Amino acid sequence: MEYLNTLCNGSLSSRVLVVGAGGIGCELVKNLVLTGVCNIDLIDLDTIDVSNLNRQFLFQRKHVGKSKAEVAKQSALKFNPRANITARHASVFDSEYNVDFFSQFSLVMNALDNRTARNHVNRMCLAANIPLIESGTEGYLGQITVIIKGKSECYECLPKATQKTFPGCTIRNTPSEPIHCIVWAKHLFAQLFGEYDADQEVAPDAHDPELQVTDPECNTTSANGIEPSAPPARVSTRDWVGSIGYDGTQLFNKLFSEDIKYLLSMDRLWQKRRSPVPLSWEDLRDLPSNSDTPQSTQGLEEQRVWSIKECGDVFVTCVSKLKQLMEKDGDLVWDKDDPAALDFVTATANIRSHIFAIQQKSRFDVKSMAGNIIPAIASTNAIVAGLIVMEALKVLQGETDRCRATFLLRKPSCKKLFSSLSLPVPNPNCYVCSSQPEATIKVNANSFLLKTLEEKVLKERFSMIAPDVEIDDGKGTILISSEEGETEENMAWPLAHFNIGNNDRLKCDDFMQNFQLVLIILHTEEGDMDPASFEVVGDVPKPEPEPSNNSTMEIVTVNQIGKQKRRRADSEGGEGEVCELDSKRAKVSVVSDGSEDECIAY
Amino acid sequence: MSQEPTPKPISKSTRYDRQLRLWGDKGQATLESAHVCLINASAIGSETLKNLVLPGVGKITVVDSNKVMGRDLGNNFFLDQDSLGLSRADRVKELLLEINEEVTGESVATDINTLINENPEFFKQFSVVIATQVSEGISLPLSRLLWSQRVPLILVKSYGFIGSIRVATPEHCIVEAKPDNALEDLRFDKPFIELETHVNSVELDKLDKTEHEHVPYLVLIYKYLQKWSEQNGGRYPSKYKEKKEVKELIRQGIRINPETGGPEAEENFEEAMNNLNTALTETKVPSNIDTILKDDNCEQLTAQSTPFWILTAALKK
Repeated sequence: MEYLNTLCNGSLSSRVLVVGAGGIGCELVKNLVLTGVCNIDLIDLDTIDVSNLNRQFLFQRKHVGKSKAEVAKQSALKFNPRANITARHASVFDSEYNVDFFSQFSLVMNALDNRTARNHVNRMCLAANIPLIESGTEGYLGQITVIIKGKSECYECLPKATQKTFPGCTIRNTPSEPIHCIVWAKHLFAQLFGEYDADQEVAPDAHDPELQVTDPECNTTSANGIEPSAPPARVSTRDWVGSIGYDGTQLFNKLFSEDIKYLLSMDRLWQKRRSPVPLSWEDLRDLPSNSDTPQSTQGLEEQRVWSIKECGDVFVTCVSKLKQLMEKDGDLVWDKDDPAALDFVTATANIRSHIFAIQQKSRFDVKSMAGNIIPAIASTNAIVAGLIVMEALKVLQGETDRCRATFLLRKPSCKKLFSSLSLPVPNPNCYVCSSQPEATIKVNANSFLLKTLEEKVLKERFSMIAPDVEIDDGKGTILISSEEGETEENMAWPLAHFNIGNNDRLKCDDFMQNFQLVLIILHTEEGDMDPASFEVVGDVPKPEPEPSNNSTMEIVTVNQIGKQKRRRADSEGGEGEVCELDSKRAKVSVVSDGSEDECIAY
Repeated sequence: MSQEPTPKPISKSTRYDRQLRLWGDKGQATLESAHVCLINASAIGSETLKNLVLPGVGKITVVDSNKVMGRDLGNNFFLDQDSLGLSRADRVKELLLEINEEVTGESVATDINTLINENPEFFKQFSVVIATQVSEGISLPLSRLLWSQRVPLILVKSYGFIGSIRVATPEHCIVEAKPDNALEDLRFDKPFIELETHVNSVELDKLDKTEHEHVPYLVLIYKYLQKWSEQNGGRYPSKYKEKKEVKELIRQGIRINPETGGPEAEENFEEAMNNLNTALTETKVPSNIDTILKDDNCEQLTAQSTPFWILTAALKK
């Protein structure tokens, strides 16, 4: 046993933290233990799923359903029973994991699959001044970098491409691609079975900018008797469905026939576009049983495109199933691994596609697109985990000057498949790691609500968990308090109510992340500015459209951090976002984002 | 003790979902029909096989005449305390197979040189042989043998922080479904009848404004190509200068707006000009294909010819 004694001494005995026990995490824990690092804390809120087994080799079939962190620990201990591994089946956002907690470690290594968690850990490590090794993989590609406060770029120094979003009117009125229909279907799911969200309206949008607010030529009313100039109120959608007992065929007719006829009445939309063709439940009977999409006769059943008739049947069946589920468990959150939820979105999206003469997709493809699935294999994760340990050894031995960022390339560049760079220096204007972070947001202060500021700006856009906001007016007037209930009555008011206008400054901070940010208001009264929208001024303009890999392109529903615990995290295959290095210019452009933690459209 | 019921098999499409989205079911089928041989159940060899077993390689065979020693336990995740003194080939094979019940495997605790000398046919069953941490005394005869058998060999060495990988195989066939930068094969220099008929049916002068600006740019290119050809003795433009002349003819074809006196915004004409150079390529068999068609393997089929060469020969005919 003497070999065990030579390990785990000196710098290798330092405590390290691994955040995430998935694809990269399993490989990383193995490597750390093999290398002789023996004081490892491992945290992951997820449980093991069958689709993890193709690469997360510390787990076997018998472990499905159990905690990833716990099982990873047990498997690793089999190899070296003397290793000191602390497994935490918990969320890294928990207040328990504060700056003091992070300060216990000599090194933190991320093995995550979503941006919000990465942002959060980035801030915690900056606050605690602990080196962080950040990494991600997708398919055959991967990368790692080292984040050292004051010496290198932090994770948030460069703006990352936000997930692709689509304007509301495209989703609601004028879809032209399968993804638009899929997003609509997910919104419908939420409207019918989930928690209400104003950004997920599915009814035709009479405020479509193309109609110039109200269309004077339009004089029909929608099926439930509401004037076209007023979008159907929220209460009517969900309540109407409830009042008809979630009857599938009636719902079918409303969504795919009546609402489409209403859209057709908005002539202007169809002058240069192909008009949608309404489809009623009765019309379905006349459709062929085979799909109108040509497809190969081989291949998995999952990859077969359903006929519209099938879609209609599946739609009705799922509405009934999901209604029962909702009655039992309360508001549902869409989960790609729930068969009824995925079937519902597949059927719904395809029916809508059919109506708009858009290509239909198989359940397999819908799952990728709707579920943000990132392809993942063992070997890429093994490579990246190996690279992580190479950098980890430098950090543990106090040689951070030698740390590098490494990228796997799609094709050899200068005959190399790996590109290695010295760490980029921090961005002096970074709103996270610079000494006085500031950002400017363009809003209509007369209508922009405090609630929106808290949810969409501070939590979503700037990844704060529990923000506190005070006005920088010399008096320290508190606008938003992270304490439950303290500033509740402020939320429904617009900024102007508090005399906040152009050039005013708001001091925002997240205590746990030790993150302070000054928000400067740029008031605008531009006609088409949606009251709930905002723009971060000076953001890098949207990057070029990414290669058409549908499985990586996504944006959908708003998700609060609190929901992460309730819903088993969608971390399958999402070892995360990958930056593709343009080695000629040494410029990094993001190829995709595995984030299932979505942000607001627009 | 009660017997645990045999667990229901996991659906492969669920288990392999994340990789199917990368290499599809054809890629998966290829992997599942493969039989990989590992020579030396070293740490690097075990790691390599792990990455093949997890995604579902068909079968593995581990060849290693060594017994498990103390020093192996410190660096190979696929050996445990209980393995000490036992066959390294066997122990690594057993522990690897635990991570995917779909994969089958064998262990061969024979010295590799013995196998090469006394049972060379042994290697013919493999899709690829991975030899790790072998000295030249083994790699030389092994590579000669495998080369003659046309079995691909991958030689791997790992030492501290450095290592090497070397692939040795006489031939490797790749059939790309989607080549990058494929040029459109328009055949303008050898037009097919339907193309000519269609283009001739379009009379540009007789079209109204909307029709004119919606004529597909390929039709425009062909039209103006014909015009240039008539002005140049029926030839097809081959030099850069000549192509520029065609471009100029296209530009002159843009209608003038009667009110402004300037050119109409006809996007199709812009497209035609932008795509002219790539549209006017010579129709011929690409040189890389030509080389394949002229290869000896294609000219002379034998009983050992691989399907690729048989198909190529058929194509050539």
